[in-house]
Amino acid sequence: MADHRKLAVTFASACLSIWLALPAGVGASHHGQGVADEVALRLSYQQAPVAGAHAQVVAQAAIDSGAPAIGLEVEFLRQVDFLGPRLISLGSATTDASGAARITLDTTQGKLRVIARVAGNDLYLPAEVAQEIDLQAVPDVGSPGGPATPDGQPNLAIVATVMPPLLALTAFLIWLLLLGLIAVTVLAIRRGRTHAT
Amino acid sequence: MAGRDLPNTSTDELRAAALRPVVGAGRRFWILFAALGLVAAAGAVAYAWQLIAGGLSVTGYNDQVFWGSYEATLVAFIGFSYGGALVSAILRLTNASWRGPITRIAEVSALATLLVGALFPIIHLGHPERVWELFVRPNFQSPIFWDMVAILTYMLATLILLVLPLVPDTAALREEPRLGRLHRVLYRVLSLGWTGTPRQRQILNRAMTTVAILIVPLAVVVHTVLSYTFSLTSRPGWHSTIFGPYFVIGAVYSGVAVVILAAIIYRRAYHLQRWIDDRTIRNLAFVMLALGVAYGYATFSELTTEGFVGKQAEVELLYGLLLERFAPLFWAFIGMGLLAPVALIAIPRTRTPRGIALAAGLVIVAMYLKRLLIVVPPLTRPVIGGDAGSYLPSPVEIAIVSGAAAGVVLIMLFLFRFIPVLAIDEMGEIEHERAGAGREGAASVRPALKPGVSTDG
Repeated sequence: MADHRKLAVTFASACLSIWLALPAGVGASHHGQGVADEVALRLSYQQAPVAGAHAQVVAQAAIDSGAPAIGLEVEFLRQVDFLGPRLISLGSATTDASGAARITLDTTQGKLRVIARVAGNDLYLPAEVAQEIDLQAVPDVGSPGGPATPDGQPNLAIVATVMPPLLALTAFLIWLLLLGLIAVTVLAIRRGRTHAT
Repeated sequence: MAGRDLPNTSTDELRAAALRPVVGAGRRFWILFAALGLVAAAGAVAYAWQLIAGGLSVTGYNDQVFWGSYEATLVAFIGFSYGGALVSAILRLTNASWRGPITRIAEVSALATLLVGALFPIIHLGHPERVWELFVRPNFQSPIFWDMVAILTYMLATLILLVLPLVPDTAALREEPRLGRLHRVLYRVLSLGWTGTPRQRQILNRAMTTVAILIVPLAVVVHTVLSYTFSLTSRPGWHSTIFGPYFVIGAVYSGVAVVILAAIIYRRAYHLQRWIDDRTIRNLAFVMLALGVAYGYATFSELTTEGFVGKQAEVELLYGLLLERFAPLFWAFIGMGLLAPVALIAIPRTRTPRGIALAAGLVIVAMYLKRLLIVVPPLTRPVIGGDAGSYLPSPVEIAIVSGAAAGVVLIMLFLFRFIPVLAIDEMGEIEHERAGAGREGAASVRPALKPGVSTDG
């Protein structure tokens, strides 16, 4: 009997371990029905509002019912053709409560072919959409106060303050070294003309 | 005291050879001097015209392409200078036994190209009378300010690198009967009372080593800062992290070519084949070959890095360079500046002084072209809309740049009318070290003061 009990406990703990080791949600059915939803992806973009700012690409994810797909990770890629066609990652973002995932582009103008891709999970099926976007140059109308300073970068300000005097000091020291060297050499050679050793 | 422990005949012959350009300026020298003087004068007149006739409006510059030949000449000439200084400094630091005959030529070419190249930021200014504001109202955020600081510092170091080794040479020549009074007075001043005591030699060697060590990072800084003028701007084709090392490699490559060409011309014109022998020229050619391959790889790396990510602006620029508008110039650079020189030096049959001189000449021309290709194509592509720009150097620009090139040669000719073309003391010292090594049972070496092998007559 003791052996049976031991076997039962071992079997139960093994089952528990396997269940715990499984990725969260695996084996569970979505909405209790066991069917993942199809996701409809739609791409759009927003031009940079002012010169120097960045354009955004927005992927809108929705399920069949039209409800937004929330918490879905969308990977953004860009197709390039130089030295052969291939995809380059632009980054990834997670859909918010409205089903939108956004990334900022570092390109300010030109045509791009952008691809948004969802890998899929137990809740949603994989999906992909591609679209050509055409970013127009935003004219720089200027601003009376000059270009906007990026916020939240105090380190840059420190570097900008410290670097110029540091560089100036380095240049000064090199000049001092060179002029000192020539002065010392001239004097030492003149003084050393009678020294045998 | 030059050439200590040397047979007197060798030392005398070396002195005589080193002084040939000083005492032996014949009719051909003066014809060349006059011709170059005319070209330089035409350049000066063109610059005066630029000042009088409304500044840069007489150039081919426009709203889109606001930099052109002047910037390219600045980068090219400072690059030529860098090669000369670096050849001299590195060969001295590594104690390369074949350096003796070419260090003086390298140092003079470094100074001459630097003196002329440093004028171009001023020539490029619409209002050169405001240049003093760089000193009194410096803008520490501007690469142009740091360009000025770096170039002036490097100029001082280059001058010291040239003058210090002249101390013992001028001492050896200050009583030379073949020289005129002016030369003897000049040599007496420059020799600083040199008598060649071990103490003096120790001081001089220490100072020269210090300057040689300093000049290597200084030259790197100068050319990197020069590259910042481009790479610190947010412009496709310029904004590239590889620009610093790319500029440095290009500078040494073209600078070594200038040293080779100057050495070959001087050895032929003044029959110095016995001193600047084929081995010296070949060694320099091998340095140029290695740098050519490195520059070719850096070019490939720069283009691939820009193009691979596939941003539209960069790709358009690359297509323009490789296949479209600028393709003839770009492929001319590849052929003349990389493939032909590398082939001429790599193939033993063409690795003659004549072949090496041709390779060096091609490198100089092609590297100037490359500097134009760095400056102009990115500017032709509009950044904030509008039509593509175009650029053709105006006659005024061509005259000024030609005058500058003539000016470099004139300065070299002029300096070698006053200073010996060969580093007499240094060659003597190398020979002295060799003799010492020989006495200690070292492997037999070819004495530097014995006739070398020459194949170009």
